[in-house]
Amino acid sequence: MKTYNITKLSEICMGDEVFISQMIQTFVTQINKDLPIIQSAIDIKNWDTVHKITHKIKPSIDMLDIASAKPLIKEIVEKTRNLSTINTEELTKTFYILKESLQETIREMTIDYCP
Amino acid sequence: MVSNFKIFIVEDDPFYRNVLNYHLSLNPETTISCFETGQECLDNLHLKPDAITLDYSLPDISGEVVLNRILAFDNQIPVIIVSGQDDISTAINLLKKGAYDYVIKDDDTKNRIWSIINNIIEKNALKKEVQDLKEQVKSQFDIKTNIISSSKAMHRVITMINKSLNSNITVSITGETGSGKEVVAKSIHYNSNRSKRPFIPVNIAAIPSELIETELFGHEKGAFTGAMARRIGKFEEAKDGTLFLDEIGEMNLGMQAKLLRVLQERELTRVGGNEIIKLKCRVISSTHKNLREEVTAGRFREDLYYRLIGLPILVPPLRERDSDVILLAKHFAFEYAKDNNIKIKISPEAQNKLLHYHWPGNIRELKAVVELACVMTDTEEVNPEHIILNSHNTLESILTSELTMEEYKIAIIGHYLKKYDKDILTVAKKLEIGKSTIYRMLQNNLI
Repeated sequence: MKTYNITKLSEICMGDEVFISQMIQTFVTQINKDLPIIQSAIDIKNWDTVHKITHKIKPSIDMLDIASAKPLIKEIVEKTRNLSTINTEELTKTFYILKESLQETIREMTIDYCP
Repeated sequence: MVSNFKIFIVEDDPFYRNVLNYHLSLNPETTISCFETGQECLDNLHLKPDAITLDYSLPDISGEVVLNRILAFDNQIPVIIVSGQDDISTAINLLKKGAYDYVIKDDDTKNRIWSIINNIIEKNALKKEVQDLKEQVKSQFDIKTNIISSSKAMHRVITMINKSLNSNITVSITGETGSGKEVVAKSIHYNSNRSKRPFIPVNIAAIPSELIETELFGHEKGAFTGAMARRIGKFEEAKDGTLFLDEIGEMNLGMQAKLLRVLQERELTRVGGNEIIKLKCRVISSTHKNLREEVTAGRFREDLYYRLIGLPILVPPLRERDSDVILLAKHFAFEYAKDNNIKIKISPEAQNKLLHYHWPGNIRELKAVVELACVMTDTEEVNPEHIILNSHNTLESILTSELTMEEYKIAIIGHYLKKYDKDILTVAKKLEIGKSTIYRMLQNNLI
């Protein structure tokens, strides 16, 4: 059982394997670039950047149907929208689980699409 | 179809950008450019995109600012805001600012953008078509091509039309039936600065007198039995275009008083209503009657006459337009031939026959006669026998042939001889001439 699902993506491109492979690679590159940025933004409590970047990557996580990450990214995006109610400890924890989950997915994707 | 429809995709997430790009590229009519930041998009506006999909949260400039700058550059570009936020107030705010549509990023986004883009393409095609048709109508009524004439009489009319173009003066057109009064009115409208506005013709003679008021001024719901809904009248329909009141001489006196008030005050109220509506249209009236005489006879209000007369244009009857008959006949034959994909020309003898007729029905009659002749001929040439003139031979029609006195004499005696079965004695008695005159003509083979 994979942690991601390409059904939606496949629907868009009507099963175009080359396009799917390109999109997965784009996703891997993007997440590898964005995760450290989010991490350092959390470290210095720059919630605005955390919100912007998580908000940016949320649609791609939805589209690739990464079940474990979907509720987590949603939670971070929503919690960082309203700065007054942020619980740093809770958020750091949520991000840690999200990071683990995404990294697992990326490992799978790398095996599947970037041998 | 619009080919090469340029779409800008402004999206910072490369994943989503590629998905949109891939999906929209499936439409062969589109060319797509992708931008990561708002600034990049703004820097490329000179490429004139036909539509832009704009991500609301961009890394450099906020979506709202980008939208404002795009619209400041060209407010005709449809901008579709694509956002991850389903915040209604943001959406309403952006739509009020001039965004074309607001789409939330979810599984259905691509389909929605696809249909929005298709709508824009369709709308653009329709806009272009309307524009083309407007141009076409305008060129149809270009004075040079629309009024076919080389005669001095018409030259005066064209001078008057040109004078009327640059002012808003009321124009009154008089002329016999079929002489082209509506063509003149349309020429004025489509060559004036109102050409892109409506031209509304109203034939007063064709509307029952009790309905003219609601036809011209409109009515409110419930103004009278059967007034089920509000209806706007021709004056309102014409907006800031031209209202053409054809056959104004047929209007009854009661209605004339109402029309006079509207023209004087430049405002009207719908039948059964209170709201005052300002009059913005130009009024052109026409009649085949002599309005001056109608005024003297008490059938037309003098005050309305002076209100309508403005710039008077008298369209001459066809018989006073010299060789225009031939020019017009050739034009109608050409048009007929073009419509029916054939070749046709009018023989010199046939042209002569057309010239020597008095055309009581003017150009309308000429057109009908020429078209009938084109149908009657079996060859590519119209000859005199194909030209069937319907009007009765009035004295005037005989005089238009411009013969010498001697020729008229021969024609008249010939006619009588035919009528009375060559009974020379009876003819001489009827015409009160000597029978020897007839004998002499017969001897000289003149009859």
